[in-house]
Amino acid sequence: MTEARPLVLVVEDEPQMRRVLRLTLESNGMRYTEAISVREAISKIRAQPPDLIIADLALPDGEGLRVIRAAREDSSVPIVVLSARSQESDKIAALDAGADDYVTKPFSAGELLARLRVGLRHAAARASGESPEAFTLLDLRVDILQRRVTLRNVPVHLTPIEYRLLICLIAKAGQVVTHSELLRAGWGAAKLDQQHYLRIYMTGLRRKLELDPARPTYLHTETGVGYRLSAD
Amino acid sequence: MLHSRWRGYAMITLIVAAGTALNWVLSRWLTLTDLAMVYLLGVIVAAAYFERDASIACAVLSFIALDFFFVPPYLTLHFTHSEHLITGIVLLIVGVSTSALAARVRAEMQRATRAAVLASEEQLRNSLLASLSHDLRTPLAVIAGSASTLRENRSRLSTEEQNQLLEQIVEQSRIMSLDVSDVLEMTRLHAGPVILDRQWHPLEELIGAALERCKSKLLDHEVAVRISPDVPMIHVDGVLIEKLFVNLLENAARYTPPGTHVTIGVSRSDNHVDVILEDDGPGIPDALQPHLFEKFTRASSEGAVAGSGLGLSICRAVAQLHEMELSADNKPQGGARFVLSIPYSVPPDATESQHD
Repeated sequence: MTEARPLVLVVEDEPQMRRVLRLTLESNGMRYTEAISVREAISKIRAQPPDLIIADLALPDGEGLRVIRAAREDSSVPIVVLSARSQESDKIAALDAGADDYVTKPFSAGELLARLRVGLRHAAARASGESPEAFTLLDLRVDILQRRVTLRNVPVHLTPIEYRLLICLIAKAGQVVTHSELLRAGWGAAKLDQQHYLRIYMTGLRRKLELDPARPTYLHTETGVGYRLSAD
Repeated sequence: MLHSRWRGYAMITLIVAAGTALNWVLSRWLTLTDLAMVYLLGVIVAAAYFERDASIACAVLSFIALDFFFVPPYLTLHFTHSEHLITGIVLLIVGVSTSALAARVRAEMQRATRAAVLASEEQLRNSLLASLSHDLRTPLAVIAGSASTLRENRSRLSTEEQNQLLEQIVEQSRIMSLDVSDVLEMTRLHAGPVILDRQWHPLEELIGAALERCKSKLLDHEVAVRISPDVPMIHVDGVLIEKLFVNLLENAARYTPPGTHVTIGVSRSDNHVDVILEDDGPGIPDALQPHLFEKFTRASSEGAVAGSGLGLSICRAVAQLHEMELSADNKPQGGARFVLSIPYSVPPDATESQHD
């Protein structure tokens, strides 16, 4: 980040939506810039790399997915999709193309800002170049250097696969992680079509980490898309 | 279309060939006019079943066959005799006019069937529109009213009053958004064949996800989940089943007073997994019971309780798609009870996943 106030590129063709976003972002300490088409978005990303991108999926000259792919070619800038499409297949396509998160319209300002902050936080952590040594959330503490998990200071034994899944979720805490990403993290490329393996292991993880596995505090389900670890 | 057109031409060639074969056998007993009648029969048949082009082709082909095979000198084409030319023209006229008549009859029949279907759809759509316009206009009226009041009278309103209006705008937008999603979901479920994305899901996870989505609405209710440990995973479209649970929970949140206990119990019987959602609220009114899962049924009449009235009908549609049974009744001690009965299927062997 060149300045303390992050520069947010909004890729959106609806003028009213752009106005709402500009007011929301600027009143929350962010700088606003906009693009109303795929072509304009790509040239703006190249000309002045933003610190965060909010992208709509349906643009007048094509799919927002193209913006995501173009941005991902040479940068890890956080990308949050903001779309009226609520089908799970659209979410998966955007996340697989490289988006960090997905917010459906209509949205509340609070919800959107929370997701943007998570994205900026992860980007800042990446930029610092240091890999995190520990992850702490409420009663859960994961000591990444020593591979130790404790809950209310009591050690929790995780199997290697459970641990890998948890670490994958921690790396994107607060953001949704797709089934295929988690399957790859847990089993490599071999089990990508075996979603029930993942569900069995997530059930196991919840039994070990959650007070009430049917009402989880840490490990949330995004049915049809993946899982999300609480950020705070 | 192209395909059926070529099939039409093939059939016509067959008809003419059949007529020619028949005439070949009969020719020694019949006059040329009689032979033409046999071809005419073929042309009428063709005109009744195929498009105009095909029946013209049939007439022309028949005329050529008649001339070629049965008009001396045989096995040559001579269009010189005017009487044969007239035979040809008659075949053509009969072909064209018969096919025009047949086309009109076909169109008329299609129109009649379509009209009958439209009439029943029309009735459904009218009640749908009446209900929808009420459900969407009510929150919209609150939003428009609150927003314009703020715009025109802001200086005369206290901060607290302004906040109340803003809160109303946000809350009613949320309700409207849910209504619109319900309508879209229902439209999708009824628009045509729904392809279920069946995967193996633990019920714990689906119920958990549904509770998460309804969290804000159930803040004032006491919710408990009890899942018996022998409950297997179920093979379902997770997104749709989560929606079913969400709608049942929203229904409970909407029609029971704050403080009501809502309990979700999951247990396994011989060939079923049963999910039972019960509450200790006022129960389902007797008059409503038979229509509970129909579209636009609402416990309170207009306005008092927000909602599209589509929630439970979506639940039923989802259950039917999965060959599950969804029923509702009142408990003897009071309160509503919904039972979703899921046919048991053998879960996949996951032992391979345990190499860990």
